[in-house]
Amino acid sequence: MTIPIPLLDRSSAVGDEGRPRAASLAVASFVVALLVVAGGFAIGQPDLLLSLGSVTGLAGAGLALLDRERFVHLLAGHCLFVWFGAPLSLLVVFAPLAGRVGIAVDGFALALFGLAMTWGNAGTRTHLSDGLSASTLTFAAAILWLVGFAAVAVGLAIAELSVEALVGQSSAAGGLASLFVVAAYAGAGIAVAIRWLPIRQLTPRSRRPAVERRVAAVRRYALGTIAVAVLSLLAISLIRASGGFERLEGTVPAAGFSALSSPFVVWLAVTVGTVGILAGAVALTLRRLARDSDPASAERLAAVIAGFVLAVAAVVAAALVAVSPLVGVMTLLAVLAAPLALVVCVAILVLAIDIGVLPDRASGAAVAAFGLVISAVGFARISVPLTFACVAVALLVWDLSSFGFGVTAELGRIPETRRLELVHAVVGVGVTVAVVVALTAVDTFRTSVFAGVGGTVPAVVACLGALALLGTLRG
Amino acid sequence: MTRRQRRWGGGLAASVFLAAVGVFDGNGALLLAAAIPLAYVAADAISDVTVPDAISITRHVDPTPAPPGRPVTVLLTVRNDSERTVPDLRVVDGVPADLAVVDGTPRGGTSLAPGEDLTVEYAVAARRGTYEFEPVQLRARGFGAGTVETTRRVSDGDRRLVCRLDADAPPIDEYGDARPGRLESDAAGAGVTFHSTREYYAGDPAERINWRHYAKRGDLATTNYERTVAATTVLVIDARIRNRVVAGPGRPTAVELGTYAATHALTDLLRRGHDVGVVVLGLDGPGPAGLYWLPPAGSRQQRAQALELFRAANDAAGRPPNESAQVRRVIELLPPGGQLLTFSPVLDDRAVDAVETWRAADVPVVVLSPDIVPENTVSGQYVQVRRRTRLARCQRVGARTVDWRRGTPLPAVLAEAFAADARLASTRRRGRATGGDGR
Repeated sequence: MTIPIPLLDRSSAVGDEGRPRAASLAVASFVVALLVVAGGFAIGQPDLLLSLGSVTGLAGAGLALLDRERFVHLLAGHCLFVWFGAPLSLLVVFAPLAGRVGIAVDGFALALFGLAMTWGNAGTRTHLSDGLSASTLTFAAAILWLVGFAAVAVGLAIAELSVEALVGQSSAAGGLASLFVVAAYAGAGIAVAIRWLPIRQLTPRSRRPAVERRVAAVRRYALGTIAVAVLSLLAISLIRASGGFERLEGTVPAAGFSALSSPFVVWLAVTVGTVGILAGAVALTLRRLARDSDPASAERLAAVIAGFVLAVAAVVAAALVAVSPLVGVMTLLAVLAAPLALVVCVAILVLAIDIGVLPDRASGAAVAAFGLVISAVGFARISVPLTFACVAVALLVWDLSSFGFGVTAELGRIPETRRLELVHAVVGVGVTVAVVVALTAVDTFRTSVFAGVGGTVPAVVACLGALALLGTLRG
Repeated sequence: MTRRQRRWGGGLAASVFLAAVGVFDGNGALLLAAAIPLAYVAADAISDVTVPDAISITRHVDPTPAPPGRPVTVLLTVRNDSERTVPDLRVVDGVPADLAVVDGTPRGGTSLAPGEDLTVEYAVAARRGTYEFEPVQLRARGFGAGTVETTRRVSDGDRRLVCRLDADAPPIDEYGDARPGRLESDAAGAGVTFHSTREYYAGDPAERINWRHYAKRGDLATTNYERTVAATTVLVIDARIRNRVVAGPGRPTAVELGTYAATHALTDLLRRGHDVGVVVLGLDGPGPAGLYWLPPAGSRQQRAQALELFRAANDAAGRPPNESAQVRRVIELLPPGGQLLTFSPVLDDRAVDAVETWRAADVPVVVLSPDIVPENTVSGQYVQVRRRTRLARCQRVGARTVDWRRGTPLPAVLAEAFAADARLASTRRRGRATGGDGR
């Protein structure tokens, strides 16, 4: 059975300009996953890989889908990237405030997201620019939705006050005037809905003439209702000014006229008009956003839909304030700040590529390696072997990814190169294990034999020597 | 050529960062970690590499010579005959620049132990001409992948791909017979297939006397056979500039495919004893109205002269003074009772106009149309629809059309067309037999 989801690993995604070949990347991912599991146990979070991996993987998948042309794929890309990228960015920005553990988790999140980007071939500047555009649009759409929600709430409050004024008129003139006002409103709502709803477009071609005739008739009735209501209001004003209604006071017709402003009649007509206006406005907005002549309309529409969910989340968080003020305020701030944090993080990545700090095609691998170095700093006071392992795996990830990129660039995606990649991967993993074991032994020696003898000065001197040697060797 | 790859700039940056943080934090572990990139750079530095001399390369091209448009399989085998392992060997075959790879890839890479080999298999689309393969490019890396050596080696085995129009159309002498044509006629006469019997006339050959009839009835009767006669066919090559287009880079042009099909038809018709002529439209040739013209004949030299004309159709440039005049002139040149076999991709209305002109003069016309329109784009699909509409227009005026779809071998197309024709002929015969009974 075919799974109806957009595939990330398209042929174009692993072409001559695509991501590293699978074997190299699979070995790098496996080693990083092992490291994250080990790190999770070290900080008391055994499920760290599961929790971080799912969020980073979905965010990376969303980023990879942002260059698609089909609307469904674009919508999935926007939703995944913003919904999962936003909390990830919040974690990246604020986790270091939680101390060493936070820094370690922060680095792991970056590493896993970098690998996800690399798997989806989403580490190019073009993809990240798409991500920046998507996150900005979605954030703006969420703000606009919130403004819209507020406007609708205010409008509803004003409408309710107005309707309350119309309901329950005691006089005959008041009852008739209420009826004609709400009738004009209902007619206007129906006319607007007919004007803006895509009724003709959604009707099967064979039934269009009949439906068009019916729609034209309904439009005529609606406009006629408005005209009759306005004229009737004028007539009522004239009759009332001439004192015509005073003669009806206390009679049965007067009681009947006043009954026309009963809540049932007024609210029914108001509901019809409001639903018509809202449906028409939503249809008009969607049609404007999805206009075919504009190539960016699909992206905007996807951002609007993704932003709607964020706005609803913000409204729910705001409602939480009434239940638990502290939790509600924190949640609301997090919901509002997370998309902004995503915009800032992606903008930093784009800027880093532009100024040459990150390589364009290999930015995913570079982010993964950088994240592991950050984790090494976090683990420095927690577990020394893990510190060494983080740095060594960072270099291994960079080594395997750049090697895989080279194989893809030189040989393309068609030839079978698994053996070639595995030989290099085995050598790389061997060097990594040897380095970690050797440095752990050296550190044990340093802290046991020379404990209390020397401080960090000899280590600094040794480190400077290593750096000088490193600079010399790489030419 | 050997060069070193600079891959560890990021490692150096990581070392500086870790050292700085280690000093700032007073953490010896981070200072030690700053030395880790050194291990990787050292691993790169100590892993040296050279491409061994004892690497043998063999290329096998099949088939060669090949007809235009036929996928030709290239098998490149690289064997490590040296005593040491090459951990990373990448191979790129030197495909001629004018040929397109249509299946597989001319690239490969693996780790080669002594005695092991790497096989790279791919297919190219043949185009008319002779194409030399470039030397094979070999690139080797050490275990650390930091050192790269690139070299070019000439392969053993096949070094060229030959593509000829008559690649799979053998000379007539090998298969031809001496019979005067294979076209069945309504008239009875000498032959091999029984047709009818008639009263014996004096002078009838003795071998045609029906002795069984004589034994039953006592009078002589002569057996008639279905008489086979030779037809006169003129092969029309539509070689206008408009038709010198390809389905993709490195693919044969429509004119190349048309002349290849014409070569098949020429060989087949001559082998069956028919008279065959050739005319090339759309060029400024030495013949009447600027045509390249070879009058119909059935001689042994006819095939060689026709092949020469096909080459001219592919190589010659220039435009005719008047295309319409060329089309009309073909009718004048065609002997009485002759028919036209046209090879055209039918990419414009002029091809249909020509068929309509010939059919208006009551000339039997068959159109074989090589399809060179890729349908993977909307515009390609539109052009294809228009082309098929033109073929339908040709059918409407009474021409028989054969659509040679891309990727289908020509013999299969012709076999299918002839099979369809045989079915139609059999239906026609049954119809005639039914009508005869009624009369």
